[in-house]
Amino acid sequence: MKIIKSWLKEYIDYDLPDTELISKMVEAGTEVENVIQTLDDNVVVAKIENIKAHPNADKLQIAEVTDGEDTYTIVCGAKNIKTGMIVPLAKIGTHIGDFVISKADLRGILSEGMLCSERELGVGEDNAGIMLLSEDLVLGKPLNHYIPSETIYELEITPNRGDCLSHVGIARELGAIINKNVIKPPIELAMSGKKATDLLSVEIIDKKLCSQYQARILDDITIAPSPKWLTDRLTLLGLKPINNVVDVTNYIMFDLGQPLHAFDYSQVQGKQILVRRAEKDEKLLTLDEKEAVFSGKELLIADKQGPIAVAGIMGGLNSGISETTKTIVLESAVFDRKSIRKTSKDLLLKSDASYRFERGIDEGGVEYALNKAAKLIKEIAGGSILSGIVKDGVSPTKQIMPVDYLNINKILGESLPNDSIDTYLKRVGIEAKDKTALMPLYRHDLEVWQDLAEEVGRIYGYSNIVPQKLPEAKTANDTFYHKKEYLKDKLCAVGYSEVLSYSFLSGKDVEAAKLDAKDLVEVANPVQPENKFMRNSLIPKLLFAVAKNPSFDSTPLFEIGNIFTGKKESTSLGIVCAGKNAKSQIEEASLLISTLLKSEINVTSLNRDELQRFKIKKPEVLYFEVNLTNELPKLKATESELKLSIKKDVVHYRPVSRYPSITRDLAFVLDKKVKASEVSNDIYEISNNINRVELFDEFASDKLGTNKKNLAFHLYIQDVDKTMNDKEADEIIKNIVKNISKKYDAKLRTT
Amino acid sequence: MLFKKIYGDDAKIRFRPHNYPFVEPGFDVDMLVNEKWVEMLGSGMVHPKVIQNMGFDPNKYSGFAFGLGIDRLCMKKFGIEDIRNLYNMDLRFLKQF
Repeated sequence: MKIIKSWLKEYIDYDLPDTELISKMVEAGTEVENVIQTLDDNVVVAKIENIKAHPNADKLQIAEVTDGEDTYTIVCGAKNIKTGMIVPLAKIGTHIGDFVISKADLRGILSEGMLCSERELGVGEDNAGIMLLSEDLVLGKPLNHYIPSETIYELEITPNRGDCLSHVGIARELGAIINKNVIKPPIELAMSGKKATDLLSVEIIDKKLCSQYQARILDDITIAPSPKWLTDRLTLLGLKPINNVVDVTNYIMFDLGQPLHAFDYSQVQGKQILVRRAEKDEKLLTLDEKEAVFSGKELLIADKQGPIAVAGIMGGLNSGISETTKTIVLESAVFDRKSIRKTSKDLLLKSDASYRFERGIDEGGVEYALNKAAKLIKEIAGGSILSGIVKDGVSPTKQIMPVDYLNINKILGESLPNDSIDTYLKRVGIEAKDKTALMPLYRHDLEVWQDLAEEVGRIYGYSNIVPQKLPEAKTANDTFYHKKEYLKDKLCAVGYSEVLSYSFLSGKDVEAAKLDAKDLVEVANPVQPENKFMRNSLIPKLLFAVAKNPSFDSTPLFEIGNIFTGKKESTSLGIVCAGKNAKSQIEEASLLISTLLKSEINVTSLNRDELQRFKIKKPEVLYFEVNLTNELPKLKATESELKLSIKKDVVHYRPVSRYPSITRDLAFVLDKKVKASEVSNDIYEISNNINRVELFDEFASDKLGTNKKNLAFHLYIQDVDKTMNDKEADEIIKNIVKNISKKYDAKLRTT
Repeated sequence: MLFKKIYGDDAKIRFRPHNYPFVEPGFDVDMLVNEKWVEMLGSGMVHPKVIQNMGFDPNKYSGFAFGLGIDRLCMKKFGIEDIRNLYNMDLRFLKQF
């Protein structure tokens, strides 16, 4: 949601720097994603010092431009530049609309920025040449010191806060945060003697789906393009200006949050508007020139002949405003949130209006918005407003809720006096007094006392709440979760690596694993269309993992995760071993698991065809899978046995290079008391190109000398930007040997 | 406490109000990483409707909800550049831990 600062300031007077405003909004729950200056600080006043012809292009020139300090080479296509001219220079990094200026090679010459026209900067219409600036501007100053620039806040509004989808809504929110009132002047209308009710009547047939419907009629208006201030604001919001009437309805929607619609009165048949449900197979050609076919559930705006709009979502093309429209019907109404959402989804029809109706609009502001729009249309499109409002429906009533001061304080962990709680609630528009509160008509998310607690908390400021420690509690160690972690520890201790894979399988995976798609649960609305199946076993992904790690001689892997079979979801353990020692490794795991879980384990071996389908180059691949949901509860052990290990070694994370690495082995003979982890930590410190240091042998023997031991490491040396070469690896190895020998009085062991 | 335990005693966090339908009040928990607030997890007090649906009386019971994504916590702890690395099943990556 984009909010234009000057527009916001029409509703609330504040004098906060943007950074402070942002942090206050964020702390109260509105995320500020971005602050954009229409005239970026990187656009500065500059002077052209010299111009020469471009050697490779007739239409381009090369300008040497100064900002008073540095000189920039700018390639420019405009014909009006002359030496000595003062011009706007957009330096590297300037944002112009969605475009960022970067260093660019223009026909062999590097351009360090761009000279801009009025239109490029969004400050005027002229696009014929570079904008000329006055001689008395100071070189190097940002241009926004001289030409007014607009600030736009990009906010993330959560779906519960439909009331914040307008400038007045954000002003209300900001007012609550900084304790200031919103200025909303009354609208005074000058009306003609003609009565609107003589020209039109309205009847709401389905009162459940439309609680209020109001319309005003304006006649003798002239459809034309909107004035510049209006098109400028709409353009900044990302809307396309259409004509003065449609632009005003859009403007008021972003101003007050009330979606409006304008009909051409001459196209409304029978002087009557009906708000009713569609009949089955009724059709309407909507403003986007597509035909909507109704099922019968949708709410429509209709005249005597048939539908003229899909209520709250989009108008019909026939009754839309055209160049020849003279008399308009201006609609301001409240439609049911759920019904709008359903219709919008069913018809695949979305608009800024439906977005707001779905989230709930200000039910107390229907007439105000209608009047403000009528007044503005009269001002810019001429004509006159007929007296009276054509309407049907009921006035909205505010929801009442008791204020549970005790529980509000309890959940916040505070002891705020009742009247302070009332005051915080009043700041967000909740009329709280004597233990009861009336909810404002623009808020639809306040239903239970916990909602009020949140309002109090965020306005009082969560950062003002002093943290309190909860009493310490011990978690049981016989839970499913605990036992699962215990199994992981056991498997890691015998050399297995845990992998985590996604729960989804693609069509290709299913094919490679020769699974029957009928046995798999298919996701109705997959995040990635190709990954539409849920796994029913952990083995396929583990086999892909084997294939993905060809550089390892042996790959003992396991995964514990959930699998999906029919309507059941269960936790499973999958184990795969491949390559060297596969047989002994899988036997070790199967013995371990069968002893712990007292269950029988059947190890399966991949045949040649399967190896090929999974693209595994290793000759022997063995696996088994155990359903932990069924088997893990059988794990019985005493408390001390189920102790989980906490890894204390320092992790030296190094991103894995895409390029080949070099493996070297080093063995040192050193004092028995030195810890292997100390040595490996020191090795990591030598170079960032060391991806991994793996201890593979440690033994003490008197043959090595008194109190000496042997430590042997595999070293994986890589470069993230290129293939590691022997020369560089040798250099690193030399450094390691030098440092370790010196520090630990160690001897390199040569074999 | 958790953050101090994982990231050291000078870890700075903040609670920022945010809307999640299953909690009320709801929060995001941010941590200061290189002078920028980074969203670490979603949290809140379990919504009374959720407690009710579990068969408890929401006037008697309340609950804390913390949506800890272990992958995100791990990523920030070790400076892992892409969260997907944790799911890539690459032993050159996994064996570092």
